[in-house]
Amino acid sequence: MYYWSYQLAGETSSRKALSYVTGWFWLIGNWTIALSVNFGFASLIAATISICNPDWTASEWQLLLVFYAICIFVFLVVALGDRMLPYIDAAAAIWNLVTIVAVLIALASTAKQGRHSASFALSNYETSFSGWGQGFTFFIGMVSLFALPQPELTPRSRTTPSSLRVQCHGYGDLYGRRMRES
Amino acid sequence: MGMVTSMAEECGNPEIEVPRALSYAVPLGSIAGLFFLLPICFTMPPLEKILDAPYGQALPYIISEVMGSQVGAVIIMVMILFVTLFCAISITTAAARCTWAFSRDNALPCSKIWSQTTAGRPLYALALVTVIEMLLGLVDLGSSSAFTAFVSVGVIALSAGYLVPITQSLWYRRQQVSKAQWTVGPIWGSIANAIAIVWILFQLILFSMPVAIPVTMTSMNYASVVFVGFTALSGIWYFISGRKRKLDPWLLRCSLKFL
Repeated sequence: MYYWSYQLAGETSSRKALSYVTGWFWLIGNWTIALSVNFGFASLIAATISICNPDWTASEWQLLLVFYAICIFVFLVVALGDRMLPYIDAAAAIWNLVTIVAVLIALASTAKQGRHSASFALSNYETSFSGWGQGFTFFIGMVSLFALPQPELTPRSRTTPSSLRVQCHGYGDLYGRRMRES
Repeated sequence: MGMVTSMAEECGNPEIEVPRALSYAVPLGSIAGLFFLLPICFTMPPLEKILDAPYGQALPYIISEVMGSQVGAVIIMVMILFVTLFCAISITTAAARCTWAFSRDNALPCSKIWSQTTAGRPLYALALVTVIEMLLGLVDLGSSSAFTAFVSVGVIALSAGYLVPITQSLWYRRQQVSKAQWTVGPIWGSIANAIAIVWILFQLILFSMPVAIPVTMTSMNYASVVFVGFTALSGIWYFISGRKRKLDPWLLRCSLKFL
């Protein structure tokens, strides 16, 4: 990213400073998105346990420990399984697809809370909870939507895992958003 | 998309592969996202209840309510947890590579350490990322709104990261871009750049807004504060050391021409 900034500026005096700034933005973004994904993962685990035991809630300390366990586990996977990463990526892409289909079938076939009409599902904007006006809520929704779609499917790049990495970005955003929205 | 760009260096034929992957990622991701979102939109329980979901995690709540069966919901959730695990692995890899690449250009404090590789792996950079994450995790114990700020600053920072090169490119009339192997032509390119800049600027403002008004001390969105703080710190570091050192993007030597 910062390299692009460096290149695109051509032969100008500002290129160094600008590429430095871009690099830092990029770095901070990556660090904090990684943080948000891992922490979102921890809260998802806790929330899954709560499905079985509605009475149990994780304390902040327990949540933090789950988060630490995830961090260390991911560290080990990335550190030791470096060569496996392309395969992990391929597995992730297939698994994503399977999961989308599973969610689709599971939700559509059970629908215990009733099914909504197409007009509700597609055009109902709930504005009453956030306090923002209608227009602004629309944009908040839109940003969430833009943040979401990236997760699942991306082309299988021939030589690299790169394109598959796309998926995480969206989840990070989603979880970040969810946590804020609550 | 961020991940595509972070991993660009490891592509076989990056001049072509990276832009192609980037341009496919958006429509394909959107379609897949719709398939994920629509069933939820059609079957979800009342919104008031979702907002009270434990840990602010709406998805497990929606799934267990809609399916009405614990076992089924847990199975689906475990599947989603694996998706998240894969995602965590990818993002951590990308963050580590990004840290490593940037420290190779002496842009980080103690760059010498982070730019080392062990058996071809950026282990120190990876360790740095993990430690930073774990330290930031501690913030949650102190103040959850401060922690949320750290979590949500990611989107802002990445958008800003995209903003700078796009603006530069347009500013210099796309001179460098037009030489690339993979282009969409000057007119479409300029239009796309302009839309991107406007959208990112809008997004930056949007993500800095609190999600609900009236704002209280805890519901305030402190992401902008964290963002400015980080930027100021990096600026200070630049003046202490970065300016003196040679920030010569290492990649130049690889003579790659993206975009």
